[in-house]
Amino acid sequence: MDREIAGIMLSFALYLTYFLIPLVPSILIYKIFPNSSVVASGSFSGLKINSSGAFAAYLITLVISINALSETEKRILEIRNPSEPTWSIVGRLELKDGEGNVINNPLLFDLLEISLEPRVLSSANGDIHFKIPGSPDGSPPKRMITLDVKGFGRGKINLTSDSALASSNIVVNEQARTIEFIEPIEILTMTQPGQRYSETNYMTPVTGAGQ
Amino acid sequence: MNKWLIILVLLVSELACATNLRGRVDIRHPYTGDLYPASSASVQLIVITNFGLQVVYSYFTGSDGMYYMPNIAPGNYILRINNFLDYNIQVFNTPYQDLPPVLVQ
Repeated sequence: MDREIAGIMLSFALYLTYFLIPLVPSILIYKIFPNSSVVASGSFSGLKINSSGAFAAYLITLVISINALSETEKRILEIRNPSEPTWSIVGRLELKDGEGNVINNPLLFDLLEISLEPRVLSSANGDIHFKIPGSPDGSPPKRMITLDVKGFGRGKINLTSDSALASSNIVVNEQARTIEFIEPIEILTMTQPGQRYSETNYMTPVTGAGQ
Repeated sequence: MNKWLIILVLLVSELACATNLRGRVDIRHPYTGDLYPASSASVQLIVITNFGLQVVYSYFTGSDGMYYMPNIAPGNYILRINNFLDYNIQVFNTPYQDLPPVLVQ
Protein backbone atom coordinates (compact mmCIF):
# COMPACT_ATOMS: atom_id res chain seq x y z
CA MET A 1 0.00 0.00 0.00
CA ASP A 2 1.20 3.48 -0.80
CA ARG A 3 2.78 5.27 2.14
CA GLU A 4 0.59 8.36 1.83
CA ILE A 5 -2.71 6.43 1.56
CA ALA A 6 -1.73 4.36 4.60
CA GLY A 7 -1.00 7.57 6.49
CA ILE A 8 -4.40 9.07 5.62
CA MET A 9 -6.22 5.89 6.69
CA LEU A 10 -4.34 5.78 9.97
CA SER A 11 -5.16 9.46 10.61
CA PHE A 12 -8.84 8.78 9.99
CA ALA A 13 -8.75 5.79 12.37
CA LEU A 14 -7.03 7.92 15.00
CA TYR A 15 -9.65 10.67 14.86
CA LEU A 16 -12.38 8.02 15.08
CA THR A 17 -10.65 6.68 18.17
CA TYR A 18 -10.52 10.23 19.60
CA PHE A 19 -14.29 10.44 19.28
CA LEU A 20 -15.36 6.89 20.25
CA ILE A 21 -13.13 6.02 23.21
CA PRO A 22 -14.46 8.80 25.53
CA LEU A 23 -17.99 7.65 24.72
CA VAL A 24 -17.45 4.33 26.50
CA PRO A 25 -16.96 5.67 30.07
CA SER A 26 -19.61 8.36 29.59
CA ILE A 27 -22.22 5.77 28.52
CA LEU A 28 -21.20 3.51 31.40
CA ILE A 29 -21.54 6.35 33.88
CA TYR A 30 -24.91 7.30 32.42
CA LYS A 31 -26.19 3.68 32.63
CA ILE A 32 -24.73 2.65 35.99
CA PHE A 33 -24.98 5.95 37.88
CA PRO A 34 -27.84 7.85 36.22
CA ASN A 35 -28.24 10.12 39.25
CA SER A 36 -24.57 10.80 39.99
CA SER A 37 -23.39 14.37 39.67
CA VAL A 38 -20.24 14.54 37.53
CA VAL A 39 -19.20 18.13 36.90
CA ALA A 40 -16.56 19.45 34.54
CA SER A 41 -15.67 23.12 34.46
CA GLY A 42 -12.74 25.15 33.18
CA SER A 43 -11.27 26.19 29.84
CA PHE A 44 -10.58 23.77 26.98
CA SER A 45 -8.90 24.93 23.77
CA GLY A 46 -9.82 28.54 24.54
CA LEU A 47 -13.48 27.68 25.35
CA LYS A 48 -14.99 27.99 28.80
CA ILE A 49 -16.55 24.65 29.79
CA ASN A 50 -19.17 24.14 32.44
CA SER A 51 -21.05 20.83 32.07
CA SER A 52 -22.37 18.02 34.18
CA GLY A 53 -23.55 14.40 33.98
CA ALA A 54 -22.53 11.99 31.22
CA PHE A 55 -21.29 14.74 28.92
CA ALA A 56 -18.90 15.94 31.62
CA ALA A 57 -17.51 12.40 31.91
CA TYR A 58 -17.12 12.36 28.12
CA LEU A 59 -15.18 15.61 28.19
CA ILE A 60 -12.86 14.45 30.97
CA THR A 61 -12.02 11.19 29.11
CA LEU A 62 -11.51 13.13 25.90
CA VAL A 63 -8.93 15.43 27.50
CA ILE A 64 -7.05 12.46 28.97
CA SER A 65 -7.07 10.48 25.69
CA ILE A 66 -5.82 13.47 23.67
CA ASN A 67 -2.62 13.51 25.69
CA ALA A 68 -2.26 9.76 25.37
CA LEU A 69 -2.80 9.68 21.60
CA SER A 70 -0.71 12.73 20.69
CA GLU A 71 2.43 10.57 20.36
CA THR A 72 0.61 8.23 17.98
CA GLU A 73 -0.43 11.20 15.87
CA LYS A 74 3.20 12.29 15.51
CA ARG A 75 4.15 8.85 14.19
CA ILE A 76 1.32 8.92 11.65
CA LEU A 77 2.41 12.35 10.43
CA GLU A 78 5.93 10.98 9.90
CA ILE A 79 4.48 8.23 7.72
CA ARG A 80 2.44 10.71 5.69
CA ASN A 81 5.29 13.17 5.26
CA PRO A 82 8.55 11.25 5.39
CA SER A 83 11.75 13.28 5.59
CA GLU A 84 13.04 11.61 2.35
CA PRO A 85 10.11 10.88 0.01
CA THR A 86 10.84 8.30 -2.69
CA TRP A 87 10.97 8.98 -6.43
CA SER A 88 10.45 6.53 -9.26
CA ILE A 89 13.05 6.15 -12.01
CA VAL A 90 11.48 4.93 -15.25
CA GLY A 91 13.51 4.21 -18.37
CA ARG A 92 14.90 1.62 -20.73
CA LEU A 93 18.41 0.25 -21.02
CA GLU A 94 20.40 -0.15 -24.21
CA LEU A 95 23.61 -2.13 -24.46
CA LYS A 96 26.26 -0.85 -26.88
CA ASP A 97 29.67 -2.04 -27.91
CA GLY A 98 32.73 0.16 -28.22
CA GLU A 99 31.73 1.28 -31.72
CA GLY A 100 28.26 2.36 -30.69
CA ASN A 101 26.43 -0.66 -32.12
CA VAL A 102 23.38 -1.80 -30.16
CA ILE A 103 23.71 -5.29 -28.66
CA ASN A 104 20.47 -7.26 -28.45
CA ASN A 105 21.07 -9.81 -25.75
CA PRO A 106 18.26 -9.88 -23.15
CA LEU A 107 20.25 -12.28 -20.97
CA LEU A 108 22.67 -9.47 -20.17
CA PHE A 109 19.95 -7.58 -18.30
CA ASP A 110 19.84 -10.40 -15.77
CA LEU A 111 23.36 -9.37 -14.79
CA LEU A 112 22.38 -5.77 -14.15
CA GLU A 113 23.04 -4.30 -10.75
CA ILE A 114 21.92 -0.84 -9.78
CA SER A 115 23.79 0.80 -6.98
CA LEU A 116 23.45 4.07 -5.12
CA GLU A 117 25.79 5.87 -2.82
CA PRO A 118 24.79 5.46 -0.08
CA ARG A 119 23.43 2.10 -1.16
CA VAL A 120 19.67 1.69 -0.67
CA LEU A 121 18.33 -0.72 -3.29
CA SER A 122 18.95 -3.03 -6.23
CA SER A 123 16.73 -3.93 -9.17
CA ALA A 124 17.23 -5.48 -12.60
CA ASN A 125 15.46 -5.89 -15.94
CA GLY A 126 15.50 -4.41 -19.42
CA ASP A 127 12.85 -1.91 -18.31
CA ILE A 128 13.98 -0.35 -15.10
CA HIS A 129 11.67 1.02 -12.43
CA PHE A 130 13.01 1.64 -8.99
CA LYS A 131 12.60 4.07 -6.14
CA ILE A 132 15.28 6.21 -4.60
CA PRO A 133 15.16 8.58 -1.64
CA GLY A 134 14.40 12.18 -2.55
CA SER A 135 15.77 15.36 -1.04
CA PRO A 136 14.56 16.37 2.43
CA ASP A 137 12.77 19.42 0.99
CA GLY A 138 10.71 17.23 -1.34
CA SER A 139 12.59 18.24 -4.49
CA PRO A 140 13.97 15.58 -6.92
CA PRO A 141 16.86 13.50 -5.58
CA LYS A 142 20.40 14.75 -6.13
CA ARG A 143 22.29 11.53 -6.71
CA MET A 144 24.62 9.77 -9.10
CA ILE A 145 23.23 6.35 -10.01
CA THR A 146 25.52 3.67 -11.43
CA LEU A 147 24.11 0.84 -13.53
CA ASP A 148 26.64 -1.99 -13.60
CA VAL A 149 26.29 -5.02 -15.85
CA LYS A 150 28.91 -7.33 -14.39
CA GLY A 151 31.60 -8.31 -16.86
CA PHE A 152 30.13 -6.16 -19.63
CA GLY A 153 30.15 -2.50 -18.72
CA ARG A 154 28.41 0.27 -16.86
CA GLY A 155 26.29 3.35 -17.32
CA LYS A 156 25.61 6.33 -15.12
CA ILE A 157 22.52 8.40 -14.37
CA ASN A 158 23.54 11.86 -13.30
CA LEU A 159 20.94 13.57 -11.13
CA THR A 160 23.42 15.53 -9.08
CA SER A 161 22.45 19.00 -10.31
CA ASP A 162 19.45 21.00 -11.48
CA SER A 163 20.99 21.30 -14.93
CA ALA A 164 21.27 17.52 -15.17
CA LEU A 165 17.61 17.17 -14.25
CA ALA A 166 16.68 19.79 -16.85
CA SER A 167 18.12 17.61 -19.62
CA SER A 168 15.85 17.09 -22.62
CA ASN A 169 16.13 13.33 -22.08
CA ILE A 170 14.57 13.56 -18.61
CA VAL A 171 10.95 14.26 -17.69
CA VAL A 172 10.53 15.20 -14.04
CA ASN A 173 7.01 14.95 -12.62
CA GLU A 174 7.05 16.48 -9.15
CA GLN A 175 3.38 15.61 -8.50
CA ALA A 176 3.80 11.90 -9.24
CA ARG A 177 7.43 11.97 -8.04
CA THR A 178 8.80 10.28 -11.13
CA ILE A 179 11.92 10.85 -13.20
CA GLU A 180 11.42 9.32 -16.62
CA PHE A 181 14.04 8.86 -19.31
CA ILE A 182 12.89 9.32 -22.89
CA GLU A 183 15.97 7.87 -24.58
CA PRO A 184 17.51 4.56 -23.47
CA ILE A 185 20.17 4.78 -20.81
CA GLU A 186 23.37 3.61 -22.47
CA ILE A 187 25.52 0.91 -20.92
CA LEU A 188 28.91 0.89 -22.61
CA THR A 189 31.16 -2.12 -22.82
CA MET A 190 34.52 -1.85 -21.11
CA THR A 191 36.41 -2.68 -24.31
CA GLN A 192 37.96 0.28 -26.12
CA PRO A 193 36.50 1.32 -29.49
CA GLY A 194 38.13 0.33 -32.75
CA GLN A 195 39.69 -2.86 -31.46
CA ARG A 196 37.15 -5.38 -32.60
CA TYR A 197 38.34 -7.87 -35.20
CA SER A 198 36.41 -9.69 -37.87
CA GLU A 199 36.13 -13.46 -37.93
CA THR A 200 39.16 -15.14 -39.44
CA ASN A 201 40.80 -18.54 -39.76
CA TYR A 202 42.52 -19.35 -36.55
CA MET A 203 45.20 -21.90 -35.94
CA THR A 204 43.99 -25.16 -34.46
CA PRO A 205 45.57 -25.93 -31.10
CA VAL A 206 47.27 -29.25 -30.51
CA THR A 207 46.36 -30.01 -26.96
CA GLY A 208 49.31 -31.24 -24.99
CA ALA A 209 51.73 -31.12 -27.92
CA GLY A 210 54.43 -29.82 -25.68
CA GLN A 211 53.80 -32.23 -22.80
CA MET B 1 90.02 -7.46 -48.89
CA ASN B 2 89.17 -11.13 -49.38
CA LYS B 3 88.97 -11.58 -45.66
CA TRP B 4 86.28 -8.87 -45.34
CA LEU B 5 84.39 -10.28 -48.28
CA ILE B 6 84.31 -13.71 -46.63
CA ILE B 7 83.04 -12.18 -43.37
CA LEU B 8 80.34 -10.25 -45.23
CA VAL B 9 79.18 -13.38 -47.08
CA LEU B 10 79.05 -15.29 -43.80
CA LEU B 11 77.00 -12.54 -42.15
CA VAL B 12 74.55 -12.36 -45.03
CA SER B 13 74.17 -16.11 -45.08
CA GLU B 14 73.55 -16.11 -41.32
CA LEU B 15 70.90 -13.39 -41.65
CA ALA B 16 69.21 -15.28 -44.43
CA CYS B 17 68.65 -18.15 -42.02
CA ALA B 18 66.76 -16.00 -39.47
CA THR B 19 63.10 -15.07 -39.65
CA ASN B 20 61.15 -12.33 -37.94
CA LEU B 21 57.94 -13.93 -36.72
CA ARG B 22 54.77 -11.97 -36.12
CA GLY B 23 51.32 -13.00 -34.97
CA ARG B 24 48.24 -12.03 -33.02
CA VAL B 25 46.29 -13.45 -30.10
CA ASP B 26 42.52 -12.81 -30.01
CA ILE B 27 39.93 -13.36 -27.34
CA ARG B 28 36.19 -13.77 -27.70
CA HIS B 29 33.98 -11.51 -25.59
CA PRO B 30 32.11 -13.77 -23.18
CA TYR B 31 28.74 -12.10 -23.74
CA THR B 32 28.72 -10.44 -27.14
CA GLY B 33 30.81 -13.06 -28.98
CA ASP B 34 32.87 -10.31 -30.61
CA LEU B 35 36.58 -10.81 -31.16
CA TYR B 36 39.06 -8.55 -29.44
CA PRO B 37 42.85 -8.50 -29.07
CA ALA B 38 44.09 -10.42 -26.06
CA SER B 39 46.43 -8.15 -24.16
CA SER B 40 49.06 -9.50 -21.75
CA ALA B 41 48.80 -12.98 -23.23
CA SER B 42 51.88 -15.11 -22.70
CA VAL B 43 53.42 -16.36 -25.95
CA GLN B 44 56.31 -18.83 -25.95
CA LEU B 45 58.18 -20.30 -28.86
CA ILE B 46 59.41 -23.76 -27.91
CA VAL B 47 61.67 -26.14 -29.76
CA ILE B 48 61.93 -29.87 -29.11
CA THR B 49 65.53 -30.96 -28.60
CA ASN B 50 67.16 -34.18 -27.55
CA PHE B 51 67.23 -32.77 -24.03
CA GLY B 52 63.53 -31.98 -23.98
CA LEU B 53 61.63 -28.75 -24.53
CA GLN B 54 63.57 -25.52 -24.78
CA VAL B 55 61.98 -22.07 -24.79
CA VAL B 56 63.48 -20.08 -27.66
CA TYR B 57 61.56 -16.85 -27.17
CA SER B 58 59.01 -15.44 -24.73
CA TYR B 59 56.70 -12.51 -25.27
CA PHE B 60 53.69 -10.82 -23.65
CA THR B 61 51.22 -9.29 -26.05
CA GLY B 62 50.37 -5.60 -25.87
CA SER B 63 46.97 -3.96 -26.11
CA ASP B 64 46.85 -4.85 -29.82
CA GLY B 65 47.29 -8.56 -29.06
CA MET B 66 50.37 -8.73 -31.30
CA TYR B 67 53.57 -10.64 -30.61
CA TYR B 68 56.94 -10.28 -32.35
CA MET B 69 59.83 -12.73 -32.33
CA PRO B 70 62.93 -11.61 -34.23
CA ASN B 71 65.71 -13.76 -35.68
CA ILE B 72 64.08 -17.14 -35.34
CA ALA B 73 65.89 -19.94 -37.14
CA PRO B 74 63.82 -21.99 -39.60
CA GLY B 75 62.41 -25.24 -38.28
CA ASN B 76 59.53 -26.79 -36.42
CA TYR B 77 58.36 -25.23 -33.17
CA ILE B 78 55.59 -25.24 -30.66
CA LEU B 79 53.82 -21.96 -30.04
CA ARG B 80 52.45 -21.99 -26.49
CA ILE B 81 49.83 -19.43 -25.47
CA ASN B 82 49.10 -18.69 -21.82
CA ASN B 83 51.00 -21.84 -20.84
CA PHE B 84 48.22 -24.20 -21.93
CA LEU B 85 47.39 -23.81 -25.61
CA ASP B 86 49.96 -25.43 -27.92
CA TYR B 87 50.22 -24.99 -31.68
CA ASN B 88 52.57 -26.73 -34.08
CA ILE B 89 54.17 -24.19 -36.38
CA GLN B 90 56.82 -24.26 -39.06
CA VAL B 91 59.21 -21.35 -39.48
CA PHE B 92 60.39 -20.88 -43.05
CA ASN B 93 63.58 -19.43 -44.38
CA THR B 94 62.14 -16.04 -45.23
CA PRO B 95 62.90 -12.55 -43.85
CA TYR B 96 59.40 -12.14 -42.37
CA GLN B 97 56.67 -14.59 -41.54
CA ASP B 98 53.12 -13.89 -40.37
CA LEU B 99 51.57 -16.65 -38.35
CA PRO B 100 47.79 -17.14 -38.45
CA PRO B 101 46.02 -15.58 -35.46
CA VAL B 102 45.36 -17.60 -32.35
CA LEU B 103 42.04 -17.57 -30.53
CA VAL B 104 41.88 -17.82 -26.76
CA GLN B 105 38.33 -18.53 -25.57
